[in-house]
Amino acid sequence: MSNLLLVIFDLVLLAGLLGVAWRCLASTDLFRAVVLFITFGLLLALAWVRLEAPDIALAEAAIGAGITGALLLVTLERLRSIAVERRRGRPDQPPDPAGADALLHALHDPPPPRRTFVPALSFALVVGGLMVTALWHQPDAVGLEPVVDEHMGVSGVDHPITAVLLNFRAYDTFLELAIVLIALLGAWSLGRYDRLPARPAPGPILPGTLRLLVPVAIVTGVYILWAGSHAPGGAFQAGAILGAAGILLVLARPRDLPMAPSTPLRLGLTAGVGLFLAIGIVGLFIGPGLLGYPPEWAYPLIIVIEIAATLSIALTLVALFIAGRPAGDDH
Amino acid sequence: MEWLAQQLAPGLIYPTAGALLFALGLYGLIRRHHLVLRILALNIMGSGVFMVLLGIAARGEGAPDPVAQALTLTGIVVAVSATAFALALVVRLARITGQAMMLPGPPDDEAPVDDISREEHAPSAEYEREHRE
Amino acid sequence: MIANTLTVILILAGLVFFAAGTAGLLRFPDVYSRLHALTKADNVGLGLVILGLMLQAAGPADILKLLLIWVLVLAAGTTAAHMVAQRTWTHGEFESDR
Repeated sequence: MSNLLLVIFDLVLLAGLLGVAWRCLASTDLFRAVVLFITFGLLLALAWVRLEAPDIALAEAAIGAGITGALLLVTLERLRSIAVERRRGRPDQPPDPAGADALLHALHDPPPPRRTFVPALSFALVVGGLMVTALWHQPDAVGLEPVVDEHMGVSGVDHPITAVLLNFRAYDTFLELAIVLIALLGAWSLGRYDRLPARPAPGPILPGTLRLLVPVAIVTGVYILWAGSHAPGGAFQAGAILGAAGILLVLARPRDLPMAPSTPLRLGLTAGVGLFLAIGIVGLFIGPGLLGYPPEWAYPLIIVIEIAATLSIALTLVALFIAGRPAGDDH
Repeated sequence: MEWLAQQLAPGLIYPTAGALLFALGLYGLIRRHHLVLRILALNIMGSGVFMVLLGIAARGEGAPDPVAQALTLTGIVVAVSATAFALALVVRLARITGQAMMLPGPPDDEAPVDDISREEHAPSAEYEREHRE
Repeated sequence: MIANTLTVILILAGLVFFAAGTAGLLRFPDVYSRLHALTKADNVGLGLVILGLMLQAAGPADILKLLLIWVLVLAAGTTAAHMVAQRTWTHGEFESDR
């Protein structure tokens, strides 16, 4: 009976996910598409809980739905303000004669031409069909769970996923932090920080709520970071929560955003990669190999790396939201 | 009934749904022209891949495979970074060309960039009526 | 046994409120009445669900965490609803009105 109920739950959830994804991609209004995408992320977090992956669910809710959603919404706002600016013209540039269409084009995507329907559908069906066939005929493997379980004693932590992320597969995590940093450098290389599209100050409610929420978010972030050594949680989820708090602060006061001083900001952004690499190289010389730790030192080293990584991820996410390198440090 | 429940075990239907999400994202990626929608489609494809990974990791009796879960966690963070960078590129493109669309085919040297895409993607009259003012 | 029954009753009652709020969101004609239905019904619905879950909690720490979730959702939901309403008030209900 309970089995049957779970099957029904699974089917409803998956049908919902596919339906929301479909509505999102079929939408002509971009704002609607983004809102549906955020909904999709939240439903996905539910699916991860059902697949016994609470770590991923935490990350999906905070990053996949929350931060990606904020990034998408601010992008739409930027596109809108670009279109408005082009339509009106700027002091150094006459109004765009074709600009009347610009606003329409900026936030709406006309329905796609009919002639691409059949090729696109058949290509997607073939790829999807091949994947489904491959998945159904895949032999049941035990996976790496027993291997990880066997080595938990030397990992320095009690939570298997943290052990994999920061010890057994530290290489992946190190490169991941590097990719996050490179994405930020890419965004910075595209231009300097320009103000978020200005909005009328929404009164005392938002600042008041932030005064309540931001301290709670900081405590939650630190708690999740600490919990990562023995329960679901860890640097990525904590970094995402702190980053979300930072984005809220940026949103609440878009006009007088205090710019972080350049050197500490850059040190903070690179702390995760830098410290990870430094500890990894020390490991190369004292025995356990590149990015390896002696078992008795594993716990403190993992915690130190996680603290640095949390700081870097949080700062990078806020910087990616603002986009553009800090004004006033061109030399 | 037992048989049906076995056929619909999470280890089987979640990877299948993941493959369908991937195909759906691929379809959207090919058909839609606005770059933000294409980024959404790519993200949906990525979510499909994560679902395949986690669904397979949840197969069997014991605890799910932590390596696949750690890999997915890494993937989510990489996906958000790539998305942020892609969105920054879209904004930059819009600032330069005034469009956030994928241009059909290589731009002709003779024609200004704006004209090409407008001709090809001019919204139908019906659509214009619906969305303008 | 009594705790389990109470949990089921409380969560079902919470779901009724959620369903009512969602029906309002889908059926009401304008932004303000939709927000009205959504925020009021969902806050009570979530409160009932959380109350039901508290009866199943392992210890005081879990109960406090559940309470914290409710308070945070109340605060965030209120603020979001306020901002949606204010934006609608200043900018009009439809994109093209701006």
